[in-house]
Amino acid sequence: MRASVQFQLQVYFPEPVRGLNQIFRLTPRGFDSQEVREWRVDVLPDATLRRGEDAFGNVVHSCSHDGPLDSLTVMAEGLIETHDAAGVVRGLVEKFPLDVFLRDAPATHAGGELAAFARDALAKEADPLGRMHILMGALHKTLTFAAEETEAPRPAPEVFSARAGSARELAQVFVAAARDLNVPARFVSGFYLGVGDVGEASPHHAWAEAFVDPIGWIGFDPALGFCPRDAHLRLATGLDYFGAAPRRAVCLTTGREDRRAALNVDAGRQASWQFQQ
Amino acid sequence: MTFQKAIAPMTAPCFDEMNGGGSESPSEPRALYGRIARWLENAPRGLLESRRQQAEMLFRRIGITFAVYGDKEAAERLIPFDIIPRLLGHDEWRRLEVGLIQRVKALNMFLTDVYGAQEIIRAGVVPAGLVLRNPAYRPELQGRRVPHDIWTHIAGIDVIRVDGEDFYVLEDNCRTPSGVSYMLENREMMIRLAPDLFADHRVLPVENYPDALLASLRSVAPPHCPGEPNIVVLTPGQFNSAYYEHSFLADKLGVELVEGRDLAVRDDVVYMRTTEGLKRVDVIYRRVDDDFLDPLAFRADSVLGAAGLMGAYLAGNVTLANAVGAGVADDKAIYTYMPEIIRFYLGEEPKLKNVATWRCREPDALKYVLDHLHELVVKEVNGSGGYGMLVGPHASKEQIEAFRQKLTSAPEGFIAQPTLSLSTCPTSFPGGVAPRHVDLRPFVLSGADGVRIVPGGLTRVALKEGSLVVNSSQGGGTKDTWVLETDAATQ
Repeated sequence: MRASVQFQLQVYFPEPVRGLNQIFRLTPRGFDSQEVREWRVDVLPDATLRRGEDAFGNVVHSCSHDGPLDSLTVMAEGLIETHDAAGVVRGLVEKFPLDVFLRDAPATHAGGELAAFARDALAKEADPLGRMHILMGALHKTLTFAAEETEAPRPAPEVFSARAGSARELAQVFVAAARDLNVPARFVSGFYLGVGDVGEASPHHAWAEAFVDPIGWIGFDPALGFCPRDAHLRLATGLDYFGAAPRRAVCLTTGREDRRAALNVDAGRQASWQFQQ
Repeated sequence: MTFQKAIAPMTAPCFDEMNGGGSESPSEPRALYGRIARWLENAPRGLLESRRQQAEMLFRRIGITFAVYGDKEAAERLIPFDIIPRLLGHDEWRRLEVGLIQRVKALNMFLTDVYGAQEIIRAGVVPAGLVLRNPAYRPELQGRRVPHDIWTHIAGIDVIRVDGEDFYVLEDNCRTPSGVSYMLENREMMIRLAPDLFADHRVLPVENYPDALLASLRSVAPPHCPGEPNIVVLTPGQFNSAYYEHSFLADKLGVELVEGRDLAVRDDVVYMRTTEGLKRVDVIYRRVDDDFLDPLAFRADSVLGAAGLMGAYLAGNVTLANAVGAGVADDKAIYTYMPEIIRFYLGEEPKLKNVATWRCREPDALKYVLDHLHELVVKEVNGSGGYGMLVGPHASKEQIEAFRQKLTSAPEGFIAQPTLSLSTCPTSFPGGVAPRHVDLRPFVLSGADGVRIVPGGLTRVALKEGSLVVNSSQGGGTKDTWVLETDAATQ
């Protein structure tokens, strides 16, 4: 689909904050099935927005505000064109050998229950691609997708025990289970452009990618139960949520913040998933 | 203090630093220790005991303490100091020194490579998984260069001896090695408590360590740093076991001791808050672990670092010593590859030996280890401070069985080494003098202008009879280390 996308995040601080440092991973990179025609990120009040690239190849913006600040606005907008490639991610510059995507991180450590679940579910399937589809299906069926986002995603075993989680929590569960099966996997953060249709409260969405030989990286969305199509706008990837989070912010004074996020999608033509239905 | 040591059973014959030889103690001490032996012989009754008490009183008064994790009773404890020094001849020291320089050079080159082109992985010398899946490897640093390509500015290399010839490296410490304050304090203590004995020997000085450290830190300031670089010591705070050392070093260096909350990062530049406003910081000698350095990049719940620090670091606006991610080089599993690593980068044979090590990740090695648990030292690959290790000859059946289970379920997390006959050194006790096992941690400083080592280091001694664990957190003590101007064979 071709769409003009406008994302706006408004943050309110009940008590004004000082010394705020933020980083954003809100810039999509182009690859075979995702073309980025134009894109810009902006923040209000004005600050020097530095653009860089992290080790995983994500575009990162960072800025500092001295404050005191009682609210701020982050905007990311542009024109993109996506194609349904059945989740296959090709044409990205890959910076790491696959071993890195087998690392055991606290948030994506499978733990006994989840590992056993995954092994049971996959017992009868030998094909690497089939196994990942089954894993996605089994997680989608077993875990309730709760659109409400928690403050920070809980570790994978905790989410699995609770049998429910947000998109990013489910994505981390998938990553944990895949790595436990020795399949390189990573976390992906993005926007779901079909917002509303899946009843998501937040425009942020998250899914996972697994490396399936010989095809390469393939996206799996355990929250929605299908591979990313052209309504998934891929923003950033990392070993877990924290490495790909759309925004990370720390200020000197500890302050609570209220956030309001909105995503406006003006699609030139319908997304393929819409007319497939 | 995180020190890790493996060690030898008393039954095995071991080299004694004073008497040399094996288990049968010869009547003649080594020439090196001639004066020490005479001093011990002629010391009036009760002298050693009263010196020991004086030493304890002085340490307590100065406040040189360390905290033992998991021990509420002894939140602050003294590390016992032993009055009998450990000596090294100048020739012995030179041998050790060239080996240390070689080793630290290789460690730095390894780190530059691992975070760069990864030639050593491509050449198949070190397995990819061991590096890339290592918890101490920081993917965030991949493809980045640190100022002057120096990663481990301050390294503590733990060495032991089993005979009069060779030094073995037991462990490399490339993250935040501690103990140097004891090296300096012990020397001061010796000069105070045994001035005659000290004057009797021509001991090379260690007092210039802070100058050497300062020079090294200055040399690695960001290239565009104008004028004199502003250096700070970053501590996690007073609850850290080595807090005394952090404040001691800041004091000796003449620089500010800061905690994370004293730092502010604004637009990729690090400042410290002072009474005169913000002051730019160029070099941070950090004693805070990687995970806690920057809540924007690493653990989001950390309050020990400064938000944005990594951004400033990657932008080249501040130097962190040691570099983020340097820990991957001192991992116990990487340690086993050190001889190959030295050959790979330097094309030289290693001058210091490695202790034979079984990598439990390899099935054959695991089988051997499981069959010989009662005679091996088994360590967690990512453990330190003597926690979580099994000393086979000293372990109960239950402990061995517990380790067997751990090894079988996660073999890649462990290595095993033979119990070495660590050399012994005479050590004073209320009842007299007896040999106790010792090791040595020299401190190697790497700057843009070369490597600096002060002649000496921290000698740690296992105070319990037959004990092989010299870690201060496990009841070890320390001694002053005297490197003499004369060779070992000279009287």
